Amino acid sequence: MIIPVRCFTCGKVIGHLWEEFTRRVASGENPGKVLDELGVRRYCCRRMFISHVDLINEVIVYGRKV
Amino acid sequence: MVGIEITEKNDTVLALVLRDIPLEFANAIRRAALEEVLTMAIDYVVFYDNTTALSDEIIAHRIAMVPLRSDLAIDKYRRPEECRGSNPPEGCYVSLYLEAETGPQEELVIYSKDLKPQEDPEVVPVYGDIPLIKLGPQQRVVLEAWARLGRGREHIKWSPATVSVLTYIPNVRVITERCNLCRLCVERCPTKAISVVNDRIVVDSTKCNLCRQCVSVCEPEAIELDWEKDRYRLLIESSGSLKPERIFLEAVLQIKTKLLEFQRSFKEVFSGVGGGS
Repeated sequence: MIIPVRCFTCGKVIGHLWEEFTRRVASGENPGKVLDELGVRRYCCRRMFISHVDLINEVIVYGRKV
Repeated sequence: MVGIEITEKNDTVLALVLRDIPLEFANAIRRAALEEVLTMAIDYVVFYDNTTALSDEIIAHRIAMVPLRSDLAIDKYRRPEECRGSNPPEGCYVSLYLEAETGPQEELVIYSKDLKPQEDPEVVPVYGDIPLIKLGPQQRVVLEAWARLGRGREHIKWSPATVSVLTYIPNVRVITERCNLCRLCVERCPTKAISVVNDRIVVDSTKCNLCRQCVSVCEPEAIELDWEKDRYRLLIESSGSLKPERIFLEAVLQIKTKLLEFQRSFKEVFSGVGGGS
Protein backbone atom coordinates (compact mmCIF):
# COMPACT_ATOMS: atom_id res chain seq x y z
CA MET A 1 0.00 0.00 0.00
CA ILE A 2 2.65 2.48 1.11
CA ILE A 3 6.33 1.63 0.78
CA PRO A 4 7.52 -0.26 3.89
CA VAL A 5 10.13 1.54 5.98
CA ARG A 6 12.39 -1.51 6.07
CA CYS A 7 13.02 -4.65 4.09
CA PHE A 8 10.77 -7.42 5.45
CA THR A 9 13.56 -9.98 5.48
CA CYS A 10 16.80 -8.29 6.50
CA GLY A 11 15.62 -5.01 8.03
CA LYS A 12 17.62 -2.68 5.81
CA VAL A 13 16.03 0.77 5.70
CA ILE A 14 14.64 1.22 2.19
CA GLY A 15 11.77 3.71 2.54
CA HIS A 16 13.90 6.77 1.79
CA LEU A 17 15.00 5.27 -1.54
CA TRP A 18 11.54 4.66 -2.95
CA GLU A 19 10.81 8.09 -4.41
CA GLU A 20 14.15 8.31 -6.17
CA PHE A 21 13.66 4.77 -7.49
CA THR A 22 10.21 5.47 -8.95
CA ARG A 23 11.28 8.81 -10.37
CA ARG A 24 14.29 7.36 -12.15
CA VAL A 25 12.46 4.27 -13.40
CA ALA A 26 9.61 6.46 -14.71
CA SER A 27 12.16 8.49 -16.63
CA GLY A 28 13.22 5.35 -18.45
CA GLU A 29 16.20 4.01 -16.51
CA ASN A 30 16.76 0.31 -16.01
CA PRO A 31 15.33 -0.68 -12.58
CA GLY A 32 18.17 -3.10 -11.90
CA LYS A 33 20.76 -0.45 -12.56
CA VAL A 34 18.98 2.08 -10.37
CA LEU A 35 18.87 -0.41 -7.48
CA ASP A 36 22.59 -1.12 -7.92
CA GLU A 37 23.36 2.56 -7.74
CA LEU A 38 21.13 3.06 -4.71
CA GLY A 39 23.15 0.40 -2.90
CA VAL A 40 20.32 -2.13 -2.71
CA ARG A 41 22.39 -5.28 -3.12
CA ARG A 42 20.50 -8.20 -1.62
CA TYR A 43 17.59 -9.74 -3.46
CA CYS A 44 15.35 -9.53 -0.40
CA CYS A 45 15.62 -5.74 -0.49
CA ARG A 46 15.37 -5.56 -4.28
CA ARG A 47 12.05 -7.40 -4.30
CA MET A 48 10.68 -4.75 -1.91
CA PHE A 49 10.99 -2.29 -4.78
CA ILE A 50 10.09 -4.34 -7.80
CA SER A 51 7.08 -6.02 -6.18
CA HIS A 52 5.66 -2.93 -4.48
CA VAL A 53 2.33 -1.54 -5.69
CA ASP A 54 1.85 1.99 -4.41
CA LEU A 55 -1.89 1.85 -3.68
CA ILE A 56 -1.76 4.60 -1.06
CA ASN A 57 -2.94 7.19 -3.58
CA GLU A 58 -6.20 5.30 -4.03
CA VAL A 59 -6.68 4.78 -0.31
CA ILE A 60 -6.09 8.30 0.99
CA VAL A 61 -9.59 9.50 0.02
CA TYR A 62 -11.09 7.08 2.55
CA GLY A 63 -9.98 8.94 5.65
CA ARG A 64 -11.98 9.03 8.83
CA LYS A 65 -14.43 11.87 8.36
CA VAL A 66 -15.06 13.91 11.47
CA MET B 1 48.44 -13.57 17.65
CA VAL B 2 45.07 -11.95 17.95
CA GLY B 3 44.52 -9.48 15.18
CA ILE B 4 41.84 -7.57 13.34
CA GLU B 5 42.09 -6.51 9.74
CA ILE B 6 39.62 -4.20 8.03
CA THR B 7 38.67 -5.37 4.55
CA GLU B 8 35.79 -3.02 3.85
CA LYS B 9 34.56 0.07 5.62
CA ASN B 10 32.08 2.79 4.82
CA ASP B 11 29.22 4.60 6.57
CA THR B 12 27.04 1.52 6.87
CA VAL B 13 29.21 -1.55 6.28
CA LEU B 14 32.19 -2.87 8.18
CA ALA B 15 33.94 -6.08 7.11
CA LEU B 16 36.65 -7.45 9.37
CA VAL B 17 38.93 -10.45 9.33
CA LEU B 18 39.41 -11.71 12.87
CA ARG B 19 42.60 -13.67 13.43
CA ASP B 20 43.13 -16.16 16.28
CA ILE B 21 39.84 -15.30 17.92
CA PRO B 22 37.92 -18.51 18.75
CA LEU B 23 34.82 -19.08 16.63
CA GLU B 24 32.62 -19.12 19.73
CA PHE B 25 33.82 -15.72 20.86
CA ALA B 26 33.60 -14.19 17.38
CA ASN B 27 30.05 -15.52 17.21
CA ALA B 28 29.27 -13.94 20.59
CA ILE B 29 30.31 -10.57 19.15
CA ARG B 30 28.15 -11.19 16.09
CA ARG B 31 25.10 -11.99 18.21
CA ALA B 32 25.73 -9.12 20.63
CA ALA B 33 25.80 -6.72 17.68
CA LEU B 34 22.30 -7.86 16.75
CA GLU B 35 20.60 -8.16 20.10
CA GLU B 36 22.59 -6.62 22.95
CA VAL B 37 23.80 -3.22 21.75
CA LEU B 38 21.62 -0.35 22.95
CA THR B 39 19.97 2.04 20.51
CA MET B 40 17.12 4.55 20.55
CA ALA B 41 13.78 3.66 18.97
CA ILE B 42 10.23 4.89 19.35
CA ASP B 43 8.27 2.77 21.78
CA TYR B 44 5.09 4.69 22.63
CA VAL B 45 2.99 6.82 20.31
CA VAL B 46 0.22 9.06 21.64
CA PHE B 47 -2.32 10.10 19.02
CA TYR B 48 -4.10 13.38 19.61
CA ASP B 49 -5.81 13.30 16.23
CA ASN B 50 -5.73 11.01 13.23
CA THR B 51 -8.25 11.28 10.41
CA THR B 52 -5.96 9.78 7.78
CA ALA B 53 -6.62 6.56 5.88
CA LEU B 54 -3.89 4.81 7.84
CA SER B 55 -4.89 3.49 11.24
CA ASP B 56 -3.09 4.50 14.42
CA GLU B 57 -1.43 1.10 14.65
CA ILE B 58 0.00 1.22 11.13
CA ILE B 59 1.39 4.70 11.71
CA ALA B 60 2.83 3.77 15.11
CA HIS B 61 4.50 0.72 13.61
CA ARG B 62 5.96 2.65 10.69
CA ILE B 63 7.31 5.36 12.99
CA ALA B 64 8.90 2.75 15.25
CA MET B 65 10.83 1.23 12.34
CA VAL B 66 12.60 4.54 11.65
CA PRO B 67 16.17 4.38 13.01
CA LEU B 68 17.07 7.23 15.35
CA ARG B 69 20.54 8.66 15.89
CA SER B 70 21.89 6.88 18.95
CA ASP B 71 25.62 7.59 19.11
CA LEU B 72 25.24 10.18 21.88
CA ALA B 73 22.01 8.86 23.34
CA ILE B 74 23.41 5.52 24.51
CA ASP B 75 25.56 7.23 27.12
CA LYS B 76 22.95 9.79 28.04
CA TYR B 77 19.74 7.89 28.73
CA ARG B 78 18.89 5.17 31.20
CA ARG B 79 19.12 1.54 30.24
CA PRO B 80 15.88 -0.37 29.55
CA GLU B 81 16.31 -2.38 32.79
CA GLU B 82 15.92 0.83 34.77
CA CYS B 83 12.88 2.06 32.84
CA ARG B 84 10.35 -0.70 33.53
CA GLY B 85 6.97 -0.22 35.13
CA SER B 86 4.22 2.33 34.86
CA ASN B 87 6.27 5.11 36.44
CA PRO B 88 9.62 5.25 34.67
CA PRO B 89 12.20 7.59 36.21
CA GLU B 90 13.56 10.73 34.57
CA GLY B 91 16.03 10.21 31.77
CA CYS B 92 14.28 7.25 30.14
CA TYR B 93 12.12 8.73 27.44
CA VAL B 94 12.58 11.46 24.87
CA SER B 95 9.73 12.68 22.70
CA LEU B 96 9.25 13.67 19.08
CA TYR B 97 6.26 15.58 17.81
CA LEU B 98 4.38 15.46 14.53
CA GLU B 99 1.54 17.69 13.39
CA ALA B 100 0.15 17.99 9.87
CA GLU B 101 -3.07 19.10 8.25
CA THR B 102 -4.29 19.39 4.65
CA GLY B 103 -6.67 21.81 2.98
CA PRO B 104 -9.71 20.89 0.81
CA GLN B 105 -7.72 20.20 -2.38
CA GLU B 106 -4.39 19.27 -0.86
CA GLU B 107 -2.42 16.04 -0.60
CA LEU B 108 0.62 15.74 1.61
CA VAL B 109 3.32 13.15 2.28
CA ILE B 110 4.72 13.11 5.80
CA TYR B 111 8.39 12.17 5.93
CA SER B 112 10.50 11.03 8.82
CA LYS B 113 12.16 14.48 8.91
CA ASP B 114 8.78 15.90 9.97
CA LEU B 115 9.17 14.17 13.32
CA LYS B 116 10.43 17.10 15.37
CA PRO B 117 12.47 16.43 18.49
CA GLN B 118 11.06 18.20 21.53
CA GLU B 119 13.71 17.95 24.26
CA ASP B 120 16.80 16.52 22.61
CA PRO B 121 17.85 17.70 19.12
CA GLU B 122 20.37 14.85 18.94
CA VAL B 123 17.75 12.11 18.85
CA VAL B 124 16.44 12.52 15.31
CA PRO B 125 15.67 10.13 12.43
CA VAL B 126 18.84 9.10 10.63
CA TYR B 127 17.15 9.17 7.23
CA GLY B 128 14.90 12.17 6.73
CA ASP B 129 13.23 11.07 3.52
CA ILE B 130 11.30 8.00 4.60
CA PRO B 131 7.62 8.46 3.63
CA LEU B 132 5.60 7.69 6.75
CA ILE B 133 2.03 8.81 6.09
CA LYS B 134 0.17 10.24 3.14
CA LEU B 135 -2.67 12.64 3.85
CA GLY B 136 -5.63 13.12 1.50
CA PRO B 137 -7.68 16.33 1.35
CA GLN B 138 -8.86 17.67 4.69
CA GLN B 139 -7.13 15.20 6.91
CA ARG B 140 -5.18 15.79 10.06
CA VAL B 141 -2.68 13.92 12.16
CA VAL B 142 -1.20 15.01 15.48
CA LEU B 143 0.95 12.67 17.49
CA GLU B 144 3.67 12.49 20.05
CA ALA B 145 6.19 9.66 19.83
CA TRP B 146 8.24 8.52 22.82
CA ALA B 147 11.61 6.94 22.21
CA ARG B 148 13.76 5.02 24.67
CA LEU B 149 16.86 2.87 24.71
CA GLY B 150 16.34 -0.80 24.05
CA ARG B 151 18.00 -3.95 22.81
CA GLY B 152 17.45 -5.97 19.66
CA ARG B 153 16.45 -9.05 21.65
CA GLU B 154 13.33 -7.18 22.85
CA HIS B 155 12.29 -5.94 19.41
CA ILE B 156 14.23 -5.77 16.17
CA LYS B 157 13.61 -2.02 15.89
CA TRP B 158 16.30 -1.55 18.56
CA SER B 159 18.84 -3.63 16.71
CA PRO B 160 21.63 -1.40 15.35
CA ALA B 161 22.72 -3.97 12.78
CA THR B 162 20.58 -5.18 9.91
CA VAL B 163 23.15 -7.76 8.90
CA SER B 164 25.72 -9.32 11.19
CA VAL B 165 27.31 -12.43 9.77
CA LEU B 166 30.36 -14.51 10.53
CA THR B 167 31.77 -16.52 7.64
CA TYR B 168 34.58 -18.93 7.04
CA ILE B 169 37.38 -17.86 4.74
CA PRO B 170 37.64 -20.39 1.90
CA ASN B 171 40.90 -22.03 1.06
CA VAL B 172 40.82 -23.62 -2.41
CA ARG B 173 43.80 -25.57 -3.64
CA VAL B 174 44.21 -26.89 -7.17
CA ILE B 175 46.58 -29.80 -7.53
CA THR B 176 48.07 -28.98 -10.93
CA GLU B 177 49.57 -32.44 -11.51
CA ARG B 178 46.10 -34.02 -11.34
CA CYS B 179 44.23 -31.29 -13.23
CA ASN B 180 43.35 -32.20 -16.83
CA LEU B 181 42.05 -28.70 -17.65
CA CYS B 182 38.57 -29.96 -18.51
CA ARG B 183 37.17 -26.62 -17.27
CA LEU B 184 34.05 -28.22 -15.83
CA CYS B 185 34.73 -26.41 -12.55
CA VAL B 186 34.94 -23.06 -14.37
CA GLU B 187 31.51 -23.66 -15.89
CA ARG B 188 29.97 -25.01 -12.71
CA CYS B 189 31.16 -22.36 -10.23
CA PRO B 190 28.06 -20.24 -9.40
CA THR B 191 30.09 -17.23 -8.23
CA LYS B 192 32.56 -17.36 -11.15
CA ALA B 193 35.50 -17.61 -8.79
CA ILE B 194 37.42 -20.00 -11.03
CA SER B 195 39.15 -18.99 -14.24
CA VAL B 196 41.89 -20.29 -16.50
CA VAL B 197 45.01 -18.18 -16.85
CA ASN B 198 47.96 -19.47 -18.93
CA ASP B 199 46.62 -23.05 -18.87
CA ARG B 200 46.36 -23.06 -15.11
CA ILE B 201 43.27 -23.03 -12.95
CA VAL B 202 43.22 -19.85 -10.88
CA VAL B 203 40.81 -19.41 -7.98
CA ASP B 204 39.70 -16.09 -6.54
CA SER B 205 38.90 -17.26 -3.02
CA THR B 206 37.23 -13.96 -2.07
CA LYS B 207 34.40 -14.91 -4.42
CA CYS B 208 34.14 -18.54 -3.27
CA ASN B 209 31.08 -19.37 -1.15
CA LEU B 210 32.21 -22.88 -0.18
CA CYS B 211 29.47 -24.63 -2.17
CA ARG B 212 31.86 -27.47 -3.13
CA GLN B 213 30.34 -27.88 -6.59
CA CYS B 214 33.81 -27.65 -8.19
CA VAL B 215 34.96 -30.51 -5.98
CA SER B 216 32.02 -32.73 -6.93
CA VAL B 217 32.35 -32.03 -10.65
CA CYS B 218 36.13 -32.59 -10.80
CA GLU B 219 36.76 -36.06 -12.25
CA PRO B 220 40.51 -36.35 -11.39
CA GLU B 221 39.89 -34.95 -7.88
CA ALA B 222 42.28 -32.10 -8.45
CA ILE B 223 40.50 -29.58 -6.22
CA GLU B 224 40.78 -29.53 -2.47
CA LEU B 225 38.51 -27.21 -0.59
CA ASP B 226 38.45 -26.29 3.05
CA TRP B 227 38.55 -23.13 5.11
CA GLU B 228 41.14 -21.33 7.17
CA LYS B 229 41.15 -22.57 10.74
CA ASP B 230 42.26 -19.43 12.54
CA ARG B 231 40.57 -16.66 10.59
CA TYR B 232 36.94 -15.62 10.28
CA ARG B 233 35.25 -12.83 8.43
CA LEU B 234 32.76 -10.68 10.33
CA LEU B 235 30.44 -8.42 8.38
CA ILE B 236 28.30 -5.82 10.12
CA GLU B 237 25.82 -3.68 8.23
CA SER B 238 24.35 -0.83 10.23
CA SER B 239 20.73 0.33 10.14
CA GLY B 240 22.14 3.85 10.53
CA SER B 241 21.50 4.41 14.24
CA LEU B 242 25.16 3.73 15.06
CA LYS B 243 28.28 3.63 12.92
CA PRO B 244 29.27 0.01 12.22
CA GLU B 245 32.59 0.32 14.07
CA ARG B 246 30.70 1.63 17.08
CA ILE B 247 28.38 -1.37 16.91
CA PHE B 248 31.40 -3.67 17.05
CA LEU B 249 32.91 -1.85 20.04
CA GLU B 250 29.59 -1.71 21.89
CA ALA B 251 29.03 -5.42 21.23
CA VAL B 252 32.38 -6.23 22.83
CA LEU B 253 31.54 -3.92 25.76
CA GLN B 254 28.19 -5.62 26.27
CA ILE B 255 29.85 -9.04 26.42
CA LYS B 256 32.37 -7.67 28.91
CA THR B 257 29.60 -6.22 31.08
CA LYS B 258 27.82 -9.57 31.09
CA LEU B 259 30.99 -11.43 32.02
CA LEU B 260 31.69 -9.03 34.89
CA GLU B 261 28.13 -9.48 36.09
CA PHE B 262 28.60 -13.24 35.94
CA GLN B 263 31.88 -13.00 37.84
CA ARG B 264 30.22 -10.89 40.53
CA SER B 265 27.35 -13.31 41.10
CA PHE B 266 29.77 -16.23 41.04
CA LYS B 267 31.86 -14.60 43.76
CA GLU B 268 28.72 -13.91 45.79
CA VAL B 269 27.70 -17.55 45.73
CA PHE B 270 31.11 -18.73 46.85
CA SER B 271 31.60 -16.14 49.53
CA GLY B 272 28.19 -17.26 50.83
CA VAL B 273 29.36 -20.88 51.05
CA GLY B 274 32.66 -20.02 52.72
CA GLY B 275 31.83 -17.11 55.01
CA GLY B 276 28.16 -17.73 55.72
CA SER B 277 27.31 -14.03 55.54
